[in-house]
Amino acid sequence: MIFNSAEFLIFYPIVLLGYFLFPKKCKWPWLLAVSYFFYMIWNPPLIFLILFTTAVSYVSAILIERSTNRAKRIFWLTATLVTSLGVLFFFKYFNFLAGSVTSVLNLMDGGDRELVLNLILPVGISFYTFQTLSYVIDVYRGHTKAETHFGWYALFVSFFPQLVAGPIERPDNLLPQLKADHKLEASNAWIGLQKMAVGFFKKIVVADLIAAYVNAVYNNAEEATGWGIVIASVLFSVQIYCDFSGYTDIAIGCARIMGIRLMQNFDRPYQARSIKEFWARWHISLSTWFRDYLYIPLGGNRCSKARHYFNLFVVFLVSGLWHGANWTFVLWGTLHGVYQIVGALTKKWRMRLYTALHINTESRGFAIGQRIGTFILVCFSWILFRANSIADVGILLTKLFSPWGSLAVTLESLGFTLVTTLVTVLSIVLLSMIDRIGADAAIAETGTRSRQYTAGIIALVVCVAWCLLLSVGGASAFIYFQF
Amino acid sequence: MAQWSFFFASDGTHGLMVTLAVVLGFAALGALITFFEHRFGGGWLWLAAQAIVTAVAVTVLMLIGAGLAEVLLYLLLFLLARLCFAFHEGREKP
Repeated sequence: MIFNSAEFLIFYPIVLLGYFLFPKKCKWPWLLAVSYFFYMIWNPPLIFLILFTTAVSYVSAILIERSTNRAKRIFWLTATLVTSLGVLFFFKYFNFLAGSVTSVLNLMDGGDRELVLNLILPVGISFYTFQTLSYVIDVYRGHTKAETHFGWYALFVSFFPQLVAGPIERPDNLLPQLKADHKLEASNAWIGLQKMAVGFFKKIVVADLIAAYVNAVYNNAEEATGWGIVIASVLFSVQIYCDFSGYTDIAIGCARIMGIRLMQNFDRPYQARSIKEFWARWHISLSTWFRDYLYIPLGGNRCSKARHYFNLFVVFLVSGLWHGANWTFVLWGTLHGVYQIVGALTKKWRMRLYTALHINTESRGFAIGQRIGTFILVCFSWILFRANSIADVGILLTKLFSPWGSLAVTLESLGFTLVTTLVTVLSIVLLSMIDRIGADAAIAETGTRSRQYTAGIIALVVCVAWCLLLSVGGASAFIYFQF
Repeated sequence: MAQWSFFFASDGTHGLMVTLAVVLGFAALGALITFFEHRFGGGWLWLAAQAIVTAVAVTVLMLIGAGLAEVLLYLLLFLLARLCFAFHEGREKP
């Protein structure tokens, strides 16, 4: 089930009704049942995979906590990592790895090998696997207590708002909240509804309307022009942000109405003044996961420079792979690793240059320049992320570095009219304003009548855009579902 | 509706311009009422006026044969006006 479907409009009020009407002891079975139902709507048998991952991590955490022997603790931790990551690898990366190896072998001896298993990629497997891993590692480190109640733990893994596309929650934040007895509160309901309205605005009004232009270029790489690639890449940067942060906003809003506060996942990433800052603002729950469970254990920056750069590179390479089993994602992650390393290597040199040229690095103009520069680098990397294949990456980059052709012809071929251009530009302007207003927590938490009315207008805009989308083909799934 | 199609058809340049003029006119009216609401303090009167203007604007746009894209454009412009004032309000009351 996806948030922008008619089924969800029926499902969610029923969930709320049960949640607030049932006594405390019935709340977790209810939430667990509806969370599993939410997942099973898509593919019922794959619920057993969640149950398996849940059971393995649940038992392991208890065994780790009860073991007084360090070797045994390490054994149980390793066993969990191997099992959980093994399941993730099998379903997500087996065909990718087998395909890559057989391709290389075929190239070498001219053979015709093919090894492809008929596997379905379980929705959200990367998200819930990482969530269970963080729980087990935290128990191993002694940062959190092992949960002895299987029901509460199963709910922590499968809580429906964040099950399929995050945020990747930590046990310290989510588990105690799930156990608390929440009553319906007007302030929570208001803030939650506002968040949901903004999330739907991002997804339906901005991301889905832009998607048509982006797809027109990326799904026909052979016919794309330089201008088309530039426009589609800039629009894709907006689309993927709105698609993913829209999902997160809806998830946060859904949970907030129930009195549960999920972690923030985005903080206006395109305001970043460097790639390093971009990663502190983009998919925060994943970035902090990699920081805490991969980067720091590798040594972080408390080691030699060479080792520090190696650590950065590994983290971004793995981050790229986490996003998908395709060489395009590996390249995308690698490029971000290279950005970070080059940024760190040239920092001193750049500072000297600014001093020599008497550039005030504290000025507003400089900050704007840095933001634009970072945005261009990020947009370029999105080409690798969005391209359908490595072959398409080659075609797109070749065309990008060739004459761009006519802008007017490109716009016409992409289907831009005066009205659609105005709608696209306006929706992006409004998005930045909504983000700016929402970023100020003091304003966002104020439920004035005027603000409620504005949220009502946003909801109306969403309804009209939804009708518009339905008239041309219906709602689309969220991009991050595939990860 | 036939007698209106020449002036208001959204598929020809002339019709599109007229539709856009209607969109901009209603959006400006909505912005004006939003300004009054902001200037004289929020009240149900202003909110009701805006709701009526929005309802009338959407109805007129549908009647003159505008598509959902034009209706969406009107709503986005109206939202822009409201967010501008909300933005200003936020700066006044940090």
